[in-house]
Amino acid sequence: MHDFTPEIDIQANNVLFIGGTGTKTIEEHLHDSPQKIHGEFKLKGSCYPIMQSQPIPSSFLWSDPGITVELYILYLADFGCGKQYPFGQYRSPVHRLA
Amino acid sequence: MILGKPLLSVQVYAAHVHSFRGDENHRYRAIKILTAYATKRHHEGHLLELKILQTIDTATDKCNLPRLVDHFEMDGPHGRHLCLVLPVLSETVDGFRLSAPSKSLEPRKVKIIISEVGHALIRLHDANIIHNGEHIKFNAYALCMISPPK
Repeated sequence: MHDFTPEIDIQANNVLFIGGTGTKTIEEHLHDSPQKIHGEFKLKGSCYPIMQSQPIPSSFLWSDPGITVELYILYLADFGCGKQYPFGQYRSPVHRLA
Repeated sequence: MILGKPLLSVQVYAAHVHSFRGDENHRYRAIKILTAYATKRHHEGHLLELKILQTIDTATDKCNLPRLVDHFEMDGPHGRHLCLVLPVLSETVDGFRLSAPSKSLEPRKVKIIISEVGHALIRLHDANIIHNGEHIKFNAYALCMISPPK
């Protein structure tokens, strides 16, 4: 059995806030920021719009005071290139630090 | 309501109506639509995102990790597309950092962010999963509103 540490790659774009995603907040956001068309493309004789990316803003601000910072909840997301190893073959560097 | 590239949005909306789980405060879900190429790579076993999300879903402690709500496939002009239904998340840490005038965050915020990522990594590594960077854009995201249960 091998004990190895493959490369872990986490970028700031893979860590997202969970705040500001309730029904009411999203509906207000959609009302205030209607969909924007960025262009269009033609496929098999039909035209399709290209919608502009409109990220949902976080309910937190860079200027939040310390008491608000304690409320931050962040998710690690996007496992598109994630790897899964058989039990016992992977030794986490995070556990070694703990 | 769909935000993002309009990849057969009506089908995305209709496919998810049946999987509403009853939380009125969270009636929106994000749908990650993989490209036909990424879907094929999933079928061949080279990409593991669906399997990883299903593994996370079976874990007892899922804090700081997204929970797979549902998944399905649909046909598009380029072939089959695997669609992953996930909770809606908001701003990225990168976007949050760039919103500051100095383009940097103060230490107490960075400390909390690192702590949250560390918690996620411990849970992920407990399941023998590692997070690799995404070097190729395999997907588009859409935002989907879920109809209430009939």
